[in-house]
Amino acid sequence: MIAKIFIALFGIYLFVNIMALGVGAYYIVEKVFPDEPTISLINQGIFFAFLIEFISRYFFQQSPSTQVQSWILLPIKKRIIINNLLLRSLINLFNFTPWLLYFPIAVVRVIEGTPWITAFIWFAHLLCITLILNYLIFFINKSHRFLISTFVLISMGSGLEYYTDFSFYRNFALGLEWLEQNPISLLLSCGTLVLIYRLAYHYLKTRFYLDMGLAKNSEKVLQLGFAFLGGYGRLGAFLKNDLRLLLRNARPRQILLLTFFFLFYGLLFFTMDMYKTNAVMLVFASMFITGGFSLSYGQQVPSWDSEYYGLLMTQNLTYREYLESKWWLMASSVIITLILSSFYLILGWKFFLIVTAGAIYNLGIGSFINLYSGAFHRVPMKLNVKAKAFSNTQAFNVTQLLFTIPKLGLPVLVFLIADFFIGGYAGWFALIIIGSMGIITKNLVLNHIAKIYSSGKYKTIEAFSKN
Amino acid sequence: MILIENLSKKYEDKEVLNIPKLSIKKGEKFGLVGNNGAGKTTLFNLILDLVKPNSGQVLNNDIAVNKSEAWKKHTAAFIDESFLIGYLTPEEYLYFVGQLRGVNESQVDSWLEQFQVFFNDEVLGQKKYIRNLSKGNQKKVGLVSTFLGNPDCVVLDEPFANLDPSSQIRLKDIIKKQIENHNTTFLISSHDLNHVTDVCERIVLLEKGLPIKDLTTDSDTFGQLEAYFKA
Repeated sequence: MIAKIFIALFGIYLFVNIMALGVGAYYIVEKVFPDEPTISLINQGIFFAFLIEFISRYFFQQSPSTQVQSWILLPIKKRIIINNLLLRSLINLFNFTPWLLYFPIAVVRVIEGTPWITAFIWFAHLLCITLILNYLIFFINKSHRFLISTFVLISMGSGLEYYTDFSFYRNFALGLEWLEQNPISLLLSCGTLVLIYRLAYHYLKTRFYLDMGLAKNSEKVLQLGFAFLGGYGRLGAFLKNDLRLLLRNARPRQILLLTFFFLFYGLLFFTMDMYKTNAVMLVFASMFITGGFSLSYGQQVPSWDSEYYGLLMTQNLTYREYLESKWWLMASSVIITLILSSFYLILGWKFFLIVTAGAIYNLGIGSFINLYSGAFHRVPMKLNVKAKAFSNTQAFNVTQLLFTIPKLGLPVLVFLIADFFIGGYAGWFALIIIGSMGIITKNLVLNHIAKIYSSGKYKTIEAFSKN
Repeated sequence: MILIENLSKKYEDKEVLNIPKLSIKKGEKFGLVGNNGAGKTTLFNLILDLVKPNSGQVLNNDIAVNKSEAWKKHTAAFIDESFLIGYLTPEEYLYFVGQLRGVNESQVDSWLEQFQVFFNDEVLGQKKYIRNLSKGNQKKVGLVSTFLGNPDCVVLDEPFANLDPSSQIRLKDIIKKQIENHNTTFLISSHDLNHVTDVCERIVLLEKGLPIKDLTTDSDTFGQLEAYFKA
């Protein structure tokens, strides 16, 4: 119940934020870039918003065909079921963004003197594009080829942007400006929307049999070597399983994506003057860059294995071994992200020191707090079902919320104390020292955490059996 | 092998299991029958320390299962699909279980040959995750995995359910062979009176959590059980 209130509050917070962004965006852009036409800059930004939206949709939007199975035998006409599915797919956070973000901008434009008809056409086009994306995702769901080709296209696009005069986002902005001047163009957008709706309809209709689109058996086995782990005995066997868990299931793959985004967190913090000089913000950045995986994976540690917890509890293995393999997984993620984040050296060695200090803290302290908090996270998880964005009540509970206080507060405290008494780089070295101490006492700490896990064993099994 | 003393389990004041004393000898083929809700799975879960008893204890080779984890070394079980890892292929799953029981991959491979008929070319080498196998084939993977490393004690809940008739008969042969070669203690629950009287030398009948009959299997046993369930 309390968790639901928190989610509701968080939702409202997010809603207000997006609205404020929508209302404020126009004036902010106008103030920061007074020499350039505001709307064309906004249009350029919208290009990137659509790009991010498209990729996020790929990861978060549920394929409707998974919901069809329970309908298929009911005495309802196929046409109605399919239309119902297609319309229901509109109830999705992504489809509200135009109303939250673009609609306020359109209103501000009218206030600032744009004819209302132009602003309306501008908004209608953006709305159509959003809905087109909503249906486009039906065709590409589950396809890894899509993801790979998108990344290839993006990198080719960035190459073009960088080396030639051609610019996608500028042309997109010019295109939008042309569209809003020509009301007749609305037919084009609406026509495309209708067309893609029809295509999605037929796509689903031809797959309306248990052995076609609805069948789950079409999955190919994703085979990766991991042969090198064979030499590490039982620990290697666990790590191998965990890597397969991460790559072969929808939920964990979302965590991997998140980890990737966290890596670039520093770009935001290290470049903006507002944050660059704020020590607390820098500590946060240093935690997030290398700790993204540890944070999101560690706090849900037993849940990842909830589908086969009975097996783990009766096999010849101990909690200590189980937790150790989880720790190594998190530790590897910290080290890999640390290596990847060496590009921060471009910004100066000080920033790389910050990232390294955060990494060592994450290895020696953060990872343990995350594992510890996992002991209280007894929520069964369906591994191969994507979490819906912002409706993820599973991963959200009050205990976890309380745990964020030490997770983020402790490093800040350590930093500030050293910084206050010694100054200079002492704060960062304090994080390195306390992190190293954690790494040295790893075995002691893991034994202790294992005791907590094992005292909650029956409760955890009972909770997971409700999967 | 297994010694149960004063074992009871309650769910919200309702007693679902109460066994004053039950002793299962090493190498015994022990069958458990009873209608739904009689407490069969609860008993197995208690033996495997998956639920906490309200009183009493289970000793597995003189080890109290809720005090030490040493019994896991010589015990294997397949209760339901929560004993399978869905995102692994059957081979990967068996290698993993093998690793935990000290059997390496090539040993697993050669050991698996004896199950070729049982698997009927539908399980191994299919390049499919376990979650995408049929219920029956999933069950076969789980059942076979319990024999890996020849544990002293094997606990199987409803092993014949979901299997096709040929596989049920083959499973009986596999169990019998395992007993012959390794003197394995088997604990089997089943709704199939025919199979259970065929495989087990001792059958306990549970009713509402109480053991009301303890039979040594002979030619009359099937008739006795049938008479009970008809009533």
